[in-house]
Amino acid sequence: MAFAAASWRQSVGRYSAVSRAYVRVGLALRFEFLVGLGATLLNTWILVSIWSVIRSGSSDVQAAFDAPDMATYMVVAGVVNFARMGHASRRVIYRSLRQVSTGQIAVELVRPVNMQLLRYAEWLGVFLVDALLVAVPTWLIFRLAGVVDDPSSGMSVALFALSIGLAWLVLAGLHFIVNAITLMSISGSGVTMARVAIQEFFGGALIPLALMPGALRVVADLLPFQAITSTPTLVYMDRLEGPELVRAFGVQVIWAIALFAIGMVVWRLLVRRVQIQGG
Amino acid sequence: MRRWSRLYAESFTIRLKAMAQYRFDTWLGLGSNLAWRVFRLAFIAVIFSFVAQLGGWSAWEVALMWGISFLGQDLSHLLFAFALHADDYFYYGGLDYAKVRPAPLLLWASVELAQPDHLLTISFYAAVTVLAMVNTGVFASPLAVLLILVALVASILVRTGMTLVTYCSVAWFSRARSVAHGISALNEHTKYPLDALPVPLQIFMTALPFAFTGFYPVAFALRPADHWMPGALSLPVGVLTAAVGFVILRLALRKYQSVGSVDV
Amino acid sequence: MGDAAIQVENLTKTYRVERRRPGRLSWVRSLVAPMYEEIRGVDRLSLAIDHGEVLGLLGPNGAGKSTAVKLLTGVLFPTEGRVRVLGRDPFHDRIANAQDIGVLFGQRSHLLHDLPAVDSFGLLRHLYGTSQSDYDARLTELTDLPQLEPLLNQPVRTLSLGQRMRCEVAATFLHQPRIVYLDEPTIGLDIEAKRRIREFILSVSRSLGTTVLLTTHDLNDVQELCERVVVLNQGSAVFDGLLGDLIDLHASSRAVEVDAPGDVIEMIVQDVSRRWPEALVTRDGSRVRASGIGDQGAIVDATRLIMAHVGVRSISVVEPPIEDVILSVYQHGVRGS
Repeated sequence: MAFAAASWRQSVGRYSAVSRAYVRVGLALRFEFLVGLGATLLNTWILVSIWSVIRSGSSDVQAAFDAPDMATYMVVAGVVNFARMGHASRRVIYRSLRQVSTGQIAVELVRPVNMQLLRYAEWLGVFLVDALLVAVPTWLIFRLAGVVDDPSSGMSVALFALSIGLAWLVLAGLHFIVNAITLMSISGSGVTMARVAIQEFFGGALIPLALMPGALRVVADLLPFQAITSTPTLVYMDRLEGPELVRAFGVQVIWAIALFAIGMVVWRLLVRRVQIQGG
Repeated sequence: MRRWSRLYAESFTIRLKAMAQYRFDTWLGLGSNLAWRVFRLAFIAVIFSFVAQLGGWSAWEVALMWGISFLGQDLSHLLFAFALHADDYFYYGGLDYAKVRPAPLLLWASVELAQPDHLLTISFYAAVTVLAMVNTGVFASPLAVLLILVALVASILVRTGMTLVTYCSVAWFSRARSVAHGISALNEHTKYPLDALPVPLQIFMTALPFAFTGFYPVAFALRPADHWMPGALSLPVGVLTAAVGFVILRLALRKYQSVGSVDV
Repeated sequence: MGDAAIQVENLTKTYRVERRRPGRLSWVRSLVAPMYEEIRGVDRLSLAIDHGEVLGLLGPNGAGKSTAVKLLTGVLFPTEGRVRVLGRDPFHDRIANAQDIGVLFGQRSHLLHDLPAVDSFGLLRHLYGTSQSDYDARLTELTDLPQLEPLLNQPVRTLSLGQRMRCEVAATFLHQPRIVYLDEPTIGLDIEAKRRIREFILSVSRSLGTTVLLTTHDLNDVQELCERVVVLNQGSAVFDGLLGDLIDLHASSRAVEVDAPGDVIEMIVQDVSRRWPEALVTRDGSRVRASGIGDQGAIVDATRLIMAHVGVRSISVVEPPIEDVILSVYQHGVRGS
């Protein structure tokens, strides 16, 4: 028992060291993150503008969102639109998985760590830099411009933080799987573009899910993407309450676990494939 | 011309042979490349399920702008594939072989890179474009058809020039690729009619000049009277952008250091 | 002078390499005013290569060999100096020049990874505008050479590095270029594979009579393929001449080895030491080895002197290991004729 606790502590120490190292990797790429900030600002601004035009022409949209809410939704969704991760974090993620195809993985495989957790730890490091250098400044700038509303209470902030944490777990699971598939193939960029487009479309970054036309809404609810973008955004806006809130968190937890499990299986297949190819 | 079509044909055949060896990959690539375009189009459809007009433009008109802009992009990527990969060539020293071939570099490197899967996405954009032309009544007027063709040429030229400028800048500025990625993230917003955006964004999209790949030239073809000014300028802007891109390429080649040791 | 295949005068290429400033917020300053360091890749290089010549460009890693090749092939724009290849400026007249040359970059590939080499050959045929009959003739010539034919129809990715390199060499010669540049063709290969690729290069270049410029840091490549060598160090030529002269210039590192009965050996050691006091004489049983005697003439005198002793069983002149020669060229910077 004592042994288990010690080794657990040791593992946590090990992985958090990896995360800290990747915070430094991310900070070394701060120029790339600043470009990412510029792109996120413009991207969000465009979507806020377009939805303001759409809202003024549609009573359905007006019924669902008043003008400040509409803007707040698009800004927060733009900030937590992790589909559109910065170039820098994408680069780190891609590089870490490319080791499989370059054979560098052999070096990694002899290390006494779980590869999947190692990747999660690395991405957590870059993710934190992404949040620090892109997400928070984007929010702050729109906040100063008076476009986005504040969360209503400290409780909302806490719940928002929790939902972001869960969203990140879902996201990491998704990245792990998609990148693993990408690495087994040579058509990487197409797959990435498709993931971004589908994740944005069904995640709620482009269209609030409440406004999704019938059948599409059903599909969106069945996919994990809403747990990444839509849920944190709605939590921020206090749009989820009581049983709805519990259910949304439950869905996030389920997806985080499910994607982790799928990732584990995919990883096993991938390693076997690497061994068959024989480097 | 004949030599180049033969070279493209030969390169295509070879690529197809290679694709046939990786069937999983081929289908994955084709499927995902088509998928993301379909979802971008679907977003336009969802917008128009709420409103009949966006910035004064109807769904089919917007679809036509989108179609021309991205048909131009994919044709540019097919015919001048090198532009899109110039940074890799500069970064990893791949220009070494490209430069010892007896052919204009842009063309030969593009032949080498030409991807047959673009044919699928090009057909998709072409289908959307033609459908939009039917539904906006463009075919009723020969002049409008001509102006749409001009719009396409302008789009290809602007796209090629923009791509060359962004990706050849790595010769001076190794971080240009991240700027390029940042800019390309805005690419898809080319689909909104400029009239629906606030003025600062209009200026931004005009200056970049994404607006000349679809909105201005198509607006000019559809309603010449309203949008004649920037619309009529689309082709000259295209020629200018492509020329700038070509000059930057020439300068970049002069600057090329061919070292594999640039930090990646 | 004017009709050399390649003429290089005072060629210089400098690079600017960005250096990170030390310190905490240095990156802010680097964005505005980056700090650069100038590096001379090639420094006032002059040389001429005749038609049909096989020249070795020898030097340690980072000596500027590849940069020199890239300047000669029109890949890089020279900072200073002049290059003429078959009378043309390879940078400004790039396309015309490219038609007449073949280049192999040992660290890159011009073959498509996923397909058999013949497919890549076909594309190159169209590119160089080689007619089908010329191409077929050339391919027959090349496949007549040992060890190539079975490799051509396998996907390149299934070939070993040595096998792939033979295909790369064949691709380089395919359009019958007048000049071929081989930049580190043996890099990364094991001894056996190196031997095979050398044989292959030798037979191809002989049968086609091509002018060849070969860069390498492996002395055996030069010994087996080239008569003339240029030694590069830090971008400059420190030697340009025949391989034999390079060794002659450093004949002092040649040694004379003698085998004779013990009493005779004693006398030889005494005679040699008296006449050449600086010579290093070592004795091992019935054998003696004398090095550092002097130039060619001194070596001849020494052999005469030794042969004058009755009872000498054998005598031989041992060439110094070429590494030592190169090393002393680097150290002394001696220039050949």
